[in-house]
Amino acid sequence: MATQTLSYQRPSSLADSRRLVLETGGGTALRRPTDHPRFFEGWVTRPDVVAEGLRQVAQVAASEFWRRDRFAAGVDPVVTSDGRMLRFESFSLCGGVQARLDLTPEVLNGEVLDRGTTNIDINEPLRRLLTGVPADGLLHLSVGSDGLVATTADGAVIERRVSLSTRWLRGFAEAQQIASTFELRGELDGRHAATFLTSLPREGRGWVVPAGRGWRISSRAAPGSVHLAGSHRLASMLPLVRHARALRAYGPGVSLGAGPVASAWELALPGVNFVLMLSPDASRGFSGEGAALTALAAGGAVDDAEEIGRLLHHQPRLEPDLLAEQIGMTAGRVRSALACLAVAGRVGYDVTEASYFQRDLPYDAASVARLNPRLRQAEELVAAGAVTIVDDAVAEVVSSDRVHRTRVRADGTTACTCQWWITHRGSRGPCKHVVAAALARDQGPAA
Amino acid sequence: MSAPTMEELLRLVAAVDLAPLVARLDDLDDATRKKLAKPVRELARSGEWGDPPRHLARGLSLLGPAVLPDARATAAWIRRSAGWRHSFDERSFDQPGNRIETLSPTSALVVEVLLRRDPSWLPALVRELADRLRFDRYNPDDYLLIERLRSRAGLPPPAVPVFAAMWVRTAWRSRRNEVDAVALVRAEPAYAELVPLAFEVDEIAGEMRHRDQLRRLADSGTVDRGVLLDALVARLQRGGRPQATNEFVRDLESLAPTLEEVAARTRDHLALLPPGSATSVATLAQHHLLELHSEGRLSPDEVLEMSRSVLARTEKKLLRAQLAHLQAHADAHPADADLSARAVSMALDNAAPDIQRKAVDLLNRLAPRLTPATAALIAAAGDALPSDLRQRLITSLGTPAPKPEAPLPQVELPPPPNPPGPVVPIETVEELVEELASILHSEPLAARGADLDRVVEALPRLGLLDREALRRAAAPVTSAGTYRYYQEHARHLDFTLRGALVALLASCLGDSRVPQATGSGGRLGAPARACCVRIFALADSVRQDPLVRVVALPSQVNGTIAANDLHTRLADAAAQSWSPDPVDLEQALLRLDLAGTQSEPFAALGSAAGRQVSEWVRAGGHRPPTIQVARAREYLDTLNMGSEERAAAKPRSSPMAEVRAAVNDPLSLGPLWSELARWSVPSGGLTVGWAPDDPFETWPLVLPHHPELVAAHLLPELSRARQTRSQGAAALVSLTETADTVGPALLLGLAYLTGGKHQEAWSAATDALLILASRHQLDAQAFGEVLAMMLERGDLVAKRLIIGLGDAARGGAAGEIWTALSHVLSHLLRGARTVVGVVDLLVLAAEVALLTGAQGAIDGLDDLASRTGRTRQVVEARRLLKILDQLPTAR
Repeated sequence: MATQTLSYQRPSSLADSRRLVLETGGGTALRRPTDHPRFFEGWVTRPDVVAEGLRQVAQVAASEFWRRDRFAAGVDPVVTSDGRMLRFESFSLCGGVQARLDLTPEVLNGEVLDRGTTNIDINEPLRRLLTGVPADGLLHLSVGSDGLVATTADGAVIERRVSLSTRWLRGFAEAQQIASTFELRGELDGRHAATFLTSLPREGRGWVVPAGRGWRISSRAAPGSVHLAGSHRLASMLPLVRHARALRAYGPGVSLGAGPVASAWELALPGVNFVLMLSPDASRGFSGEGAALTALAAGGAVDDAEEIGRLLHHQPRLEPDLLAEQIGMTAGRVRSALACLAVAGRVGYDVTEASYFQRDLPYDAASVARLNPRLRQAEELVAAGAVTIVDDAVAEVVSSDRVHRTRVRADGTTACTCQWWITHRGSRGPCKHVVAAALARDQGPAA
Repeated sequence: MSAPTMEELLRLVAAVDLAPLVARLDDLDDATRKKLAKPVRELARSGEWGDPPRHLARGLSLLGPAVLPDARATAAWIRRSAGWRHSFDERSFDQPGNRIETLSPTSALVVEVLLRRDPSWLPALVRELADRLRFDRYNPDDYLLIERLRSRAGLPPPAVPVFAAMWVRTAWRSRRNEVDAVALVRAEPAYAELVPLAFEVDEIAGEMRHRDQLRRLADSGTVDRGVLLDALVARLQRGGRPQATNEFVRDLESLAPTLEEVAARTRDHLALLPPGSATSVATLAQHHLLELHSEGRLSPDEVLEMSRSVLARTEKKLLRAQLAHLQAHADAHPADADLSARAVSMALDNAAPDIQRKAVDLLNRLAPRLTPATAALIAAAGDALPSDLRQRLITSLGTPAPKPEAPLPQVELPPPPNPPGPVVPIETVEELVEELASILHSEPLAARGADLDRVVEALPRLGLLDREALRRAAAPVTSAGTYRYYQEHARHLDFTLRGALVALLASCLGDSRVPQATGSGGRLGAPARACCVRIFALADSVRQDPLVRVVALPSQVNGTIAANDLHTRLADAAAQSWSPDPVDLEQALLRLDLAGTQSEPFAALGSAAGRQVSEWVRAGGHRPPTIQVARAREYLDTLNMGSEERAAAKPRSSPMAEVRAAVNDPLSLGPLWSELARWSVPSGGLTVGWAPDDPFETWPLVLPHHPELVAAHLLPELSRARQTRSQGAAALVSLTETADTVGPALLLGLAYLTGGKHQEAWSAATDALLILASRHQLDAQAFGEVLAMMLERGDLVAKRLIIGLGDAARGGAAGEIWTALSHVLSHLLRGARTVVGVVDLLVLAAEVALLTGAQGAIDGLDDLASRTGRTRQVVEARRLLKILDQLPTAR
């Protein structure tokens, strides 16, 4: 559990239902390093949609979907400005849902002041006020404000201490890597999107497949289907569904009879995209999925990530092919490096544009990768000389006084005889023994 | 007096009476505190599991607050030491045995130590403690400690939601005295700020209505009424657990907000209406807003927003209330016709056909009063209506016919399932152990498809090849608890698949202790018992002759064995001088694909097994058993019932499928077929419950050529889908993939799942219906008759059929579903018994009729449609009749 202190100059506010000031704290800004970056000043169209979207992003941050709890406050959302659009992101307390609200240039009419990432304060009174934003006219939006006035009683900034579990931090970061395997699998128009979302059962679970003009939930996976578990986790879309132009479903490729996987759901609104990414099950967070362990354990990926990290300047899109050309790496290495950066909380992945974007999580980002327990334990096993390479495929790893045999199958997948693998059968990434074997192989005979 | 040393403090900490310790702690100076902090912390972790030694725990809970340097460290200590301070001996109870909620003596001493120390950070400590407080309905000691500390230090109550909730829970509900919340707040006005904060805590929902305390607080002016209303509305906007949300709704209702108060919060109420809020919340908001509208206090935009939000929901009660209100308003205020019509038109986008129809009816009435602009707007909004409703709307509005509707997409059925793939035998001991362990250690037992058979086949084969290698590889299994448990309980072993697998592994490893099958299988279904019988028999055979190998491994994942494969295995057996286990051979025969199989090659093998297969092939396998629908009375547990309850209890009965072996079967009954080819309703009643160790997904592989028979055994499990989550749904879908013909058992199973309570059931039913339809094997008429029979007998709820059947129709099986539905409706409309939910079937039938272009008549529909009155049933019957009569032109 890590405690982070989020500091704001004053609470975010909404004056006259027309002037929304979102206070910022921490993070990074490209043009002018500051504790309270200013990213945008101007007008937004569709004020009711923007206000409701922001409210739902904050709601997800305060939700614990597994226990169906919704608290007054969660971890403050993160906003990223890439000079073109604003992305507001939050991550549920249970670690199984990520929400993102993209304000595209279609609704933004003002000046983008800077690029970077920071926390924004969406407090409980503001959340309530956001419900009162009328649909007509324009809304003046300030993301960040000048730091001249301190309105708290003691004249100091507002400090909010939040406890961030390592699971939460890792989940937020690893969800990006999982999303990078997704592709668009289906789309509904606004009317059928409303029908689908409002008719979902409370605890719906299954595979979403087309049925006529709409979708239905099937009991088993088929190519092209998208997994949905814990359909109540899509409830944040319901207040917005009246404005929907389309609903799009994204997921990884699956074969017939596949097991649960994560998915992403995009509600296309006028000038705004609201995206929810769901873990494979309401009881599972993203942190345990082991999404990037293979990449992290791959030799050289961390060094490549450092090199690519130096090239990040809050570009709107990070194209692996362009980056590969720029630094003379193969596209595959660049992708592995981007996976490492995602796990380190330095880049996000936008499924709607199928591209990475820079987003340095305004937390102790360096600790995110370090905190991966399986990787850490695997490194400890290698350091302790617990790994014996038997042949190209098989290795023996001594752990807790037991010998576990890991092997690489003909199809490239891995397996182990440990209890963890037996329980999950590879559905949550490699176990620490498989990772240790991979690390030992990379290090050569000396290991 | 000099500062105490650690040794001296240790003696005092260990004492039963802690008063001397409290007194001696007064002599601590800052330097000594600093010196003692580390050893005190270490002492607190020096016991078992990182806890303090038990005899020191109470005293240590006092020592921390005396020496720790700041508020955070002290708050963490007090929180951690909560368990050390509580002792059963210190609890007080009143005469009836209720616990008296008072501060425990040790916690009181903690407060005493802190007050005597009087650090400058005491206010910060109170806040820290409040921040760390957890709501505990049954043990308020932590709250009482904070309360005592802050009141004696003269500090205001911390404005923290959980603290406020604990204050409400503890101070308002004293068991000994009638506590008046109004008097409490008047005595300490700072508490007024805490009352609205308590709404943040789910667990406090409803507590404040106790003896109408919330209402009296508001009415007396002790707590600002507006603040309470705002807090409750904000709480409802936030959402949360349904039960708590419903209680907060009642809290708000208990305050009976006036029209003025609601009007001041119009936008807040509008925000409660869109889909996503709880039904109770939306109902309350709708009620208040409709009142405002009736009083003319909503702007046109607000009326439209309200209607848009409500009419996007799915709760029929809310939808009808909204439409009824708009209708009444339009009647009372003819001048508002345009606004009313625009509000009603929001319902045209609703997915429920009956709501669309009701909206069209209402718009038809309003049409003569509408301006051309509004009429055009509404005509455009009706673009996506079903063709019959759209036609009616356009006709009444008198607007030009819109552009022709895009034709309904030709929804194609999904292609028939691909041919089943081959079963690949396990090659290495590592893979074998991975698969075996994943089955043995799964909870509940999970064995997918042919995985179980692959493991059973590989164990004797790879064990014979290199027993030591198998033993080494199997160490994760043999050293685990499951294996040891079954070894140690070998003589009292339950008859389960886990036990059978352990027995086979033990035999293959040559272990001396091999579990024996001593049970009957309990409530395991016959296919699962057949699996166990075979594996236990194999374990015996392998123990007696290690050369024995498995001959029943399926060739394909659907469970069938190709004749060539079986011939090869038996030829190997003859060549290597081992005989297949008889039960395993029977399983192989039950799986043998007889199409094109000749008996002579098997007879030529010269072995007894070869002759048995030859005879089997010549006979064409067992004669199929007779399967008949019979009603099974559910077992009624009267043991814990009183005499009156027992007399009044009426056990339900459900349709099942009885199985009787064919009398003219030319082949003798083996142990497996004896188990599988009979099932009758138990005379004492049928008991169906959760079966965590029944691997339903392997059942279809036991009898791949008799899916109907497997379905008959599966029915008790599938019947559970009506009340709970059935585990047999996936097995039924697999059976539909292999079935050549669909008999009564499969149809009953489909009906149970279609009428299931949970989405998993009806999703599986839709999958199964689509698979059968794609193979042209769904006898829709027979399915309709089964549904009608079960609806009439009350075995199914009509409303629950709507989603499964509707999805199947929209997924491409509209023709089959129309046939089934028309048969269901014919039976129900002609039947003497009234079935609840017929109207929902009529609505679905109208939708499916439009999808299929159905024409013709449904028995009884004319009579229903010609009844007088405008009940929903009659109106929907008329609409369906009209669609069936007019469809060619309507489309």
